[in-house]
Amino acid sequence: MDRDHSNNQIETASELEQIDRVMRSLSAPAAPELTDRYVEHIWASAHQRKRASQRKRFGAAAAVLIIAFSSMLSNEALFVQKSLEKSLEKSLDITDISDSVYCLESLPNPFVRALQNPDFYNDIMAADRGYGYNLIEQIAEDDGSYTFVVYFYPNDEPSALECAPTGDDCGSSEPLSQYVRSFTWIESE
Amino acid sequence: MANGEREKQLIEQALSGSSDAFSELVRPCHSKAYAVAFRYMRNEQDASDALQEAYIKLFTRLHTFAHQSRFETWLIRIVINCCYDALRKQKKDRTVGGEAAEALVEQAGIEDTRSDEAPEAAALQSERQRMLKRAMACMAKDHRDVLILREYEQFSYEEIARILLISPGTVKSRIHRAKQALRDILMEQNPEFFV
Repeated sequence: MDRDHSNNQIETASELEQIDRVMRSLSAPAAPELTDRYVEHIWASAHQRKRASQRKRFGAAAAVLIIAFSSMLSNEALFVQKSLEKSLEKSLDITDISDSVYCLESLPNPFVRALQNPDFYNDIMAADRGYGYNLIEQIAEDDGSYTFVVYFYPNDEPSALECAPTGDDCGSSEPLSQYVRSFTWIESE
Repeated sequence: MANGEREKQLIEQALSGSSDAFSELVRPCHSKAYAVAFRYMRNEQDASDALQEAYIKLFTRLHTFAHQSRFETWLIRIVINCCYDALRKQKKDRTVGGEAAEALVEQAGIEDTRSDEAPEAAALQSERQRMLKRAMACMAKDHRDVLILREYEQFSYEEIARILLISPGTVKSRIHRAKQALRDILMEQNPEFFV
């Protein structure tokens, strides 16, 4: 048993030695000469690749910017609305108007001016059900006053928001007039 | 080989646009780098192409060299990676006629046969070299790497460790296992290799 093991070891060592011998007999050919032309070629290729890589990076950066800009544009309407709300909020010196006014950008000037009057503003706020309102009609009276017909949203369902500005019946069981109120306002000097 | 300071200088000059500095930097390692490429690619043309690719990569990454290892070690690592990239590409590009082309590649390479050897002995030696190359091509990457660097190119254990980013102890044990594996492959493919 021991002799077998020992013989195997000798055999393996001999085989490994043969492998070593053959390996050492294999030499690599001479390297191509490192001429100026060869180096220039590598130099030019490397520069070309660097430029291509820079262009690729620039292209990728430009693509990111375009995507960001497009995304910004799509949000622009929201941005404009927010800006308008902020400027109106500032001019009215009130803090929570943006929560109740959904269609602020379409408000005509007399109504905006009317909202600057604290009494008028309080009347509107008192009629508001918590979902905002929309000005349906604005009538300039002969005496210089204005009659504003305002629809107060009963909820924030899309159907209520869509039909309200035109005054169409949206199939609600309740009469539409229930949500509409008129306010008279006269501009004081 | 340029010393560390000279190496730094040459790298800075090459990065500033001096192709002469680049040439001076790679010249001392050129033969060894080509020999390593040849062991992997097994023919002169492919070895030249792989080495050229390695030099291009080396230049484009020269600014990242951290001087924590020898420049030659870094270059050999890039050469090995380029050879594996080229071999993968070759495998992908292999078409219907690929087997014949591979057979030609098998025949290629420099096979040393001493001129004073009897023709029969020379023929036998040449045949054993061919068997060995074929067996090497069948080896696992890790085993082939250490055998090429140690047995063909006589890098030290420490140098191989730095090139392959493993410990010197791992290099030693891997060489031992690689030789056993090579023997097993030869036994299976060409038992006549052993006389």
